[in-house]
Amino acid sequence: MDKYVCTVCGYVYDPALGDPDNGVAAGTAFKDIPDDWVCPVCGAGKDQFEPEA
Amino acid sequence: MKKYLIVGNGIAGTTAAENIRKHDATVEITIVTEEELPFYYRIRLPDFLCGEVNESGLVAKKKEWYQENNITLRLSTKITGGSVKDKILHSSSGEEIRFDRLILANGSAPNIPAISGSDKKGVFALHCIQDAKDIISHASCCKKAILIGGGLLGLEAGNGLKKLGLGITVIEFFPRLLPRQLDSEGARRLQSILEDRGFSFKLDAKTRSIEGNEKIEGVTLENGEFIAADMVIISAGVTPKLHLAKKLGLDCNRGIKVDKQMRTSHPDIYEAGDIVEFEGRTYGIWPAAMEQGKIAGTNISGGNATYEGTILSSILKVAGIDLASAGEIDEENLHDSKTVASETIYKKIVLDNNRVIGCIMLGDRKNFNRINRAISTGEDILSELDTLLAI
Repeated sequence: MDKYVCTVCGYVYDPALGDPDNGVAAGTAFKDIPDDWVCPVCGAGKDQFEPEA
Repeated sequence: MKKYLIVGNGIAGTTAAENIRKHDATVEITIVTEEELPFYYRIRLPDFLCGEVNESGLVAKKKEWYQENNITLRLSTKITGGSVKDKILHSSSGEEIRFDRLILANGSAPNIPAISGSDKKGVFALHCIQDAKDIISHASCCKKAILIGGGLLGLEAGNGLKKLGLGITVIEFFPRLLPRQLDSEGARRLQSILEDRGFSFKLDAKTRSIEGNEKIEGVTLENGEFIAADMVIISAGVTPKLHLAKKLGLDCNRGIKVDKQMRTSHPDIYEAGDIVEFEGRTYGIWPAAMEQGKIAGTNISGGNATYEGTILSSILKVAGIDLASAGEIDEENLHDSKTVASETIYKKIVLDNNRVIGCIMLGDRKNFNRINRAISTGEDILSELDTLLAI
């Protein structure tokens, strides 16, 4: 599964880790994260993420 | 109905408004700001500079968001003073804005060191969208730019200008780049990567004066060396804007003093963001402003949240360079540390009593999120360290 980078702050979403603090279980693909999820570092919306190069 | 007034629509003020609304669906929320745009990603201004994101892409909350959340946003409104006793703020147009409870989130202003010529035309700081527009319009007739200050924003702005085709020289007062984020070895490596990309550096150097009359001609360093350039960008950190807080009689030092509930010395006035001084420290970083905004918004509307400080954690957003750093980087070798290095990668973990208290990851920031979280929570990840650091 692909990692995604926040274009605002550079945080990397790694599907293997998920974002358990904010209700996203490890193993969740980026596309399956709820639309109202935001970057845990800077609060940017899901639309601000790009696939990691 | 209770009126909540927020001064400032950056990440701190906006997050505060969002959290007040979460706790109370009906109270009146107004945000006033000097800015001409709704909340935008200030930390993406270097990307805006080189055209990688346009104005509408920079805006984080569109007008509709304010409508949906029933938040009144008043742009281009400068607050000049007010009275705590009467619970009123004054705008520069002479208007009186009433409040029951107030959050100050009006941020910081760029530091402009006392360098002769820093008031000349062609000298800029990159702090708001208007600064970026001014820089873009000026840069079109320039070939060489000097950046005074080799911090994160300085390097990112330099990279933006380089993409516009300008030659870049960075003048840094410290003997190494990113002194808060990198130790000497990390800084040396980053410098060499950036030099390969065409950056020039003058480290351990102080600017004496900016030269030129109608047009910038360059800068002279303290040692007499002259460096030619057509424009100068100063990025020497930020200072809290305390003018309003002082007029309101709030307890200020370097920032406005705050308690763990994000309350100022006045019970009905809270604060968040760059303006805050928490336990003697001002932050000036996005994640701290976001966290403080959340806590101020929660507590002012009757919730109960506590701020415990924010670990300094940074990622350099220059395409093609993987660099992340958090917490204590131990330049002075006072702690135990573990480093892993190859020709292109340098990773360092700093330990204190078997807890990770800081890290540097250059060339590969795999597992940074995991390590960064362990630094914040104090979780013991010693047994995983070798795996986490593996190249």
